[in-house]
Amino acid sequence: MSNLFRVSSRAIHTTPLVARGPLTFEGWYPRDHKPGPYPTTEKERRAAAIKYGLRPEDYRPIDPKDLNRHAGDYPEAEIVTFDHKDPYENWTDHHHKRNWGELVGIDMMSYRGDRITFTGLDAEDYKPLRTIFVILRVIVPMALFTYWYSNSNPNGGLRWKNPVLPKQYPYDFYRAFPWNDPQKYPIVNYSFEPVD
Amino acid sequence: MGQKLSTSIEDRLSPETSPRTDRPATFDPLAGFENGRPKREMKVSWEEMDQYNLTIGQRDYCAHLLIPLIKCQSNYVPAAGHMCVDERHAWDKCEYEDYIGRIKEYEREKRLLLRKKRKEAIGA
Repeated sequence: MSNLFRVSSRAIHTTPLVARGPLTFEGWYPRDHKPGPYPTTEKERRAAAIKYGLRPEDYRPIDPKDLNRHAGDYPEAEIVTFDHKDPYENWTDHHHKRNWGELVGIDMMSYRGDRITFTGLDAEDYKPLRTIFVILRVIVPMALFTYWYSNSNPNGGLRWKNPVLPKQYPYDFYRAFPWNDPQKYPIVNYSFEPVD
Repeated sequence: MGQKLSTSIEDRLSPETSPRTDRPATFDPLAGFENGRPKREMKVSWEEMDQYNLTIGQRDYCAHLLIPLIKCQSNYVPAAGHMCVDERHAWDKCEYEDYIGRIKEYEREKRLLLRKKRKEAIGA
């Protein structure tokens, strides 16, 4: 009898107050698939299996020791890539070859349709040393060029030289800066025009 | 870009014949000109440049074309881009000729340095 009056927290709906946009429509949203904590009891396993649309006997959680793929109670999916799936079946989502409610594996990004590998089984082997080399082969030339080009000596290092001499002004503004009148320091400049 | 690159590399490899681009020419400006050279004249007075509040960088030998441009712009703003094209072109052309003059000065300096080097090689 008291079961009838027990209210779970999931029954408290604040959606009418906080919902906006597509959340105002009824439906099953990604937040309903959000992983919970790793299941320890049988009851939790059943609840997790139902949440992910699996049979309780098919539900296999991911070992927490597998640091790359563990995500709470998110289950393992067998390896079925996009290219392995039947192209002629009437999928709900033909673009991803997935039916509504079908479990999306934790490794989906490796096995989806726009990957280069056919089988999806080639793992991405990012070895740490190779990663460091790939970064350094860009950064080290950048540093070298910066060092070469940051030499302020006009005759030192590599310097980008414009084949022009400084601009000619009628007065010596550098000498007059900042307090003197430039008119006190006139300069005579000549042009290359031919004298007739 | 190719000319600037070749200039940079050549001047780096032979520094004694490369003109310094941060200071004026070192040789006598009238050397080698039998008939002399015409002087560059300022065609607008300091007071008029003060009146139009020209910056120091604008008080060069093209200021006499910049001042009509400023007058036209203040007349026709905001359509000055279309109405003042002639004045703008005249001033731009003058600035371009000035830049070509700078290039010529550099080339003259470089050739005089090469000549000096040749003469030292012969004389020594």
